[in-house]
Amino acid sequence: MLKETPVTDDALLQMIKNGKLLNNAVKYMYHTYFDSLSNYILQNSGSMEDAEDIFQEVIVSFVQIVNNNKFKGESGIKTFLFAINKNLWLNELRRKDRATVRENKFEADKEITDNSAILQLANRESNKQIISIMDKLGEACKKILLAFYYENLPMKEIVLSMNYENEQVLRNKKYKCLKNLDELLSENASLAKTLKSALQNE
Amino acid sequence: MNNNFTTEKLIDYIDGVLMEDEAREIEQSISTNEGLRLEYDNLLAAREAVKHYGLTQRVANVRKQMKEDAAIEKQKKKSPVVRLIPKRVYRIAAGIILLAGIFVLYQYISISAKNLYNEKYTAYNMPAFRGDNNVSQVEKAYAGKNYDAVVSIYSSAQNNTVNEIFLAGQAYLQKNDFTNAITCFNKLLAQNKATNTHILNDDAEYYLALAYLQNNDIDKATVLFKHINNDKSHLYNKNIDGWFLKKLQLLKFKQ
Repeated sequence: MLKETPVTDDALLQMIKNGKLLNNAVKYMYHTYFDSLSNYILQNSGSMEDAEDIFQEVIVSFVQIVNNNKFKGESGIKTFLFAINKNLWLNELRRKDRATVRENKFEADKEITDNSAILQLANRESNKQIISIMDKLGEACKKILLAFYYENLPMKEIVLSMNYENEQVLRNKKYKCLKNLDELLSENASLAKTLKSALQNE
Repeated sequence: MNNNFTTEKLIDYIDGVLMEDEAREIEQSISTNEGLRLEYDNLLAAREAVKHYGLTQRVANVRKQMKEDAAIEKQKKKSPVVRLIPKRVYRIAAGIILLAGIFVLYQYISISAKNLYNEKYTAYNMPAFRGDNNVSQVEKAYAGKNYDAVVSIYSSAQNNTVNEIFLAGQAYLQKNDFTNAITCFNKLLAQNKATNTHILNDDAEYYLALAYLQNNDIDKATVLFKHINNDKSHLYNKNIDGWFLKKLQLLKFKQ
């Protein structure tokens, strides 16, 4: 869609910040940057599956950084994405204790260092754990929490879309869901710690 | 639960739905009460997990959709379009259209009042004489193809029969005097109308239409030809078909 139409860095940042245009921004980044970033992974002991996973984490991290106003634009978006990509992949290799890590001495730039807490959250292990915990909540809880905390939908709208009797019933349900999630997280100290440190970075 | 605040109240604070006083009170407690602070941090972490999960799923869904779209696009390129109609049929159809176009163009270029007149005009043949006593001078002259004599006798006579008027019209047609032919045929039709008779009426209408055509009065000719075409009992109905009327339209357009 957007591949043929170059978008300036400023325009792309605006698209990311505007929730309604986020999907277009994600598509654009895939069209424009995936090939060159995945090439780095493939040339450094990674598979195409690794490249796909890492790129997804790159996008998620970048969107969070932009939405937290932590992207200062000291380097262009392409350079910044490449740095995140490299950072995430080297962390992944370190985690797997591959010998190649020693050969790829990574010098992070300042902007990457400033956002290191958010990047800590962007790894396969954390993602898997978050998905696992969310799945344990059940579909109803997942929907309510996503609608309220991710999509920022008003209670009235959620009541209608999910057929709850009234706002109070939904509020009680949401309370229980968040409490359940809190308990599930308390069983995973390292993930809770990672999430908290990511929050401190906001 | 910590102090006087329930977890529910803490969640309300996180959601930003507390009144200002309550919010200020809970803020103070969070900053001074370690237990409450820990619970607050845990709830924030839970909320962060939801946000992270939501964003990750959204990006994954976009990617999934992109891959599906790409696969469909690839499939479209791979599989040739199944043609319900073979190419050869298209070629034949195109050929037919081209020929039809050429035909219409030819008709347009070649069409003229004279051509249409010649296409439909047949000289009127008199029925066989029933006996010399009943045959007028006009009829005799017409039978002898002496059209000048027909016109001359007709013009000099005071009272002509319907048959004589008709033959005079025919003689004028033979002499290419279409204006006088029109006068004769109109006279005949008026006389029939006045006497409520139909002698040679259909013949007069047909030849009058032809005379109008040759006289380049296409509108009047068309009215008569349409009437003949519509009237199934008209003697000349078979002579005038829809295609002839189309050609008249084309002639009118060309004018």
